[in-house]
Amino acid sequence: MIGKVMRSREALLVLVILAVGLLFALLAPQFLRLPHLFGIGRSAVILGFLALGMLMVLITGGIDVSVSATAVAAMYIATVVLLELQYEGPFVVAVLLACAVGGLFGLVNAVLVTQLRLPSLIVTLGTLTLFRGGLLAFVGTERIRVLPAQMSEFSTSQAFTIAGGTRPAQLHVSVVLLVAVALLVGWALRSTWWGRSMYAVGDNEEAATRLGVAVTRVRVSAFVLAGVLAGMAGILSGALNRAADPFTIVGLEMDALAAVVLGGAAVTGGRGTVLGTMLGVLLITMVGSSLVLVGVPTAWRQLFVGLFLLLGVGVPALRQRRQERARGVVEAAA
Amino acid sequence: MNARLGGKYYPLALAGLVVVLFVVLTILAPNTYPTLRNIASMASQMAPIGLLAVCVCLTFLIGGIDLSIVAVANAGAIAAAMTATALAGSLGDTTASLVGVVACLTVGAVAGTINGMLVSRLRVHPIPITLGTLALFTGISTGITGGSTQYGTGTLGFLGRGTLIGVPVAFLTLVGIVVALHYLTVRTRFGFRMYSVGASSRVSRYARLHVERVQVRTYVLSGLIASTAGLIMFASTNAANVSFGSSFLIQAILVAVLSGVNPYGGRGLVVAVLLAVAAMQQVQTGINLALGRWSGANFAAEFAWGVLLIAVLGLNTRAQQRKRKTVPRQPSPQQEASA
Repeated sequence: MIGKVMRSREALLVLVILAVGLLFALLAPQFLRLPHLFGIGRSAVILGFLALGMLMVLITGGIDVSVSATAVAAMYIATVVLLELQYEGPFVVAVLLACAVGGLFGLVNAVLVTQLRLPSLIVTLGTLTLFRGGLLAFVGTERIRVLPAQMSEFSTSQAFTIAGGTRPAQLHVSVVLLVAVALLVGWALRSTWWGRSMYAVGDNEEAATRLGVAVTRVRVSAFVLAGVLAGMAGILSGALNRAADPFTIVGLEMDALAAVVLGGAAVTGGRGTVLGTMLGVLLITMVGSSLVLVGVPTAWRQLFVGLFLLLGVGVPALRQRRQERARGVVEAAA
Repeated sequence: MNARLGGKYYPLALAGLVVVLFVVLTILAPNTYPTLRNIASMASQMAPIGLLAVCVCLTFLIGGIDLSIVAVANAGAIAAAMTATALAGSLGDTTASLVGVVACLTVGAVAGTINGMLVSRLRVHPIPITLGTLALFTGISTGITGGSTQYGTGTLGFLGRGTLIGVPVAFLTLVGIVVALHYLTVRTRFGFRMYSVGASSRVSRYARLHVERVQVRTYVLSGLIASTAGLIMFASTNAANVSFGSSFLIQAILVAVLSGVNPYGGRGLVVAVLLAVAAMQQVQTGINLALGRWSGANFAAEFAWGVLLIAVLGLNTRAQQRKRKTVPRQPSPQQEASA
């Protein structure tokens, strides 16, 4: 049992995170200060929600590269609508509205992929430019600095504060929110009929159909959920940055994919866990936001995302090939 | 042979589309559209996207995809600019630019080799691999330049803006490369193997074809052509930046899909890219003419590429499904991955 846990992807990731953390701590002592560590948590929130959505789609054997465009469109549209209505109520309504818009965009992806039977990569590449282009052409290109009051107040809502030092360490509410949603999704994937259907569909569509799984419905739910979670990421990004900027979150779909793949999910579907994904998010955010501390310009950040993505894909593939060869699987049949 | 053509009449329909678009736009803008200057300008703008679309087509043919092409093009352009600027003092502008060209193509070949080796050795689907190398190449370019624009010595202008008997050199380059690749894919043993690997890599393996070798060579070819596209982009503006051509990937895939090459491999003709890119360029110019003064024109064009990509892909897939006259079935991701 313990051996199995130790050999799992999650255990490996924990070791890598600890090793990288140790390296950072040795090179730059301020890495270990609580404000920086809590700051990493805060910067991980948006990527975390995007990655959870990406995980849903990957488990069912698809891919959704439009999550970043969905996030920014949901955030901007929700903000514009609320400002238009001169809304001053609780922030929750803004979140729900953004999630609804995101879910709607997710539904567009779902319909195109399941009803027209088109490859999900090309469809979502199409909707990626479609959502972003549509937003910037028809909704607006302006950075909105004056948000509904409760939305900008959210940026300073801390879960708790630890006083001390030059700067108090504050953990933002959104980190707690991310953890709560991750736990919920993790439970649903592991313990509900719907969750098991997701893995079944991604692992073997034919077998899932024969088991009586409503394959199309499961696929649709994955894309819609990815949209909802992207909407969540978008509105939180607007609130945390205290501005609705239609040019943010560009290219973050790559980080999300890297995080999910690092966490053990495969683009071929049927694999991946919430814990692994969250560890992947933590590793990427940690490296991304600590590079400056050790004197590496942030311009190199993308390079690490690429390396992580390739490592996440490559290492298990190499290991699998070695196992196959050891078992004497005929080369030609592979 | 019919299977190779991907529908006997498809190229004819595509040529019809090009003519119809030309006629419609001529009627809508009789004074500005059918002028020699506009046509020459459209022809030279077709070159980078046409070349990038060729990369997509070649990788589609073997059942793969190369998403790193724009990153490779920009990396090549940056290499050309930096090499030319660095050597201009010691070698003179012209020689330095030629060394820059070599540097650019080398970057393309190396990038293609990395893609090919990863795809064939790891036997993972090329989507995550080439997305990873997309981030990797962009990361390296961003890191080296710090995101700033690199300028060359300006001696390559003829490649980007020059004309030969009135025809833009960039367009001639595109036509030359497409025709050569058409010959390569349709008339040579290597081309036959590409179609074979694309139709079924498993059967190709049983037939003792070196599937890995075909994959590596195709991705190297894709990298080389992508860097040529980058060279033309650099030559026409004398500037290179990691963020150039942000909508080129989707446009290249749109052109590739429009040219009738099957994304699942084994079907289509590379030469149809010429017709498809002519159609797309006319739509682009049409959008520019109609919305030119509106600040959101670029974004509206991006919106249009997204809609068109999905529409064209949907129509193509429908047509193929109807032709098979069976229950529509796409290969499942598992089959895609093992292909």
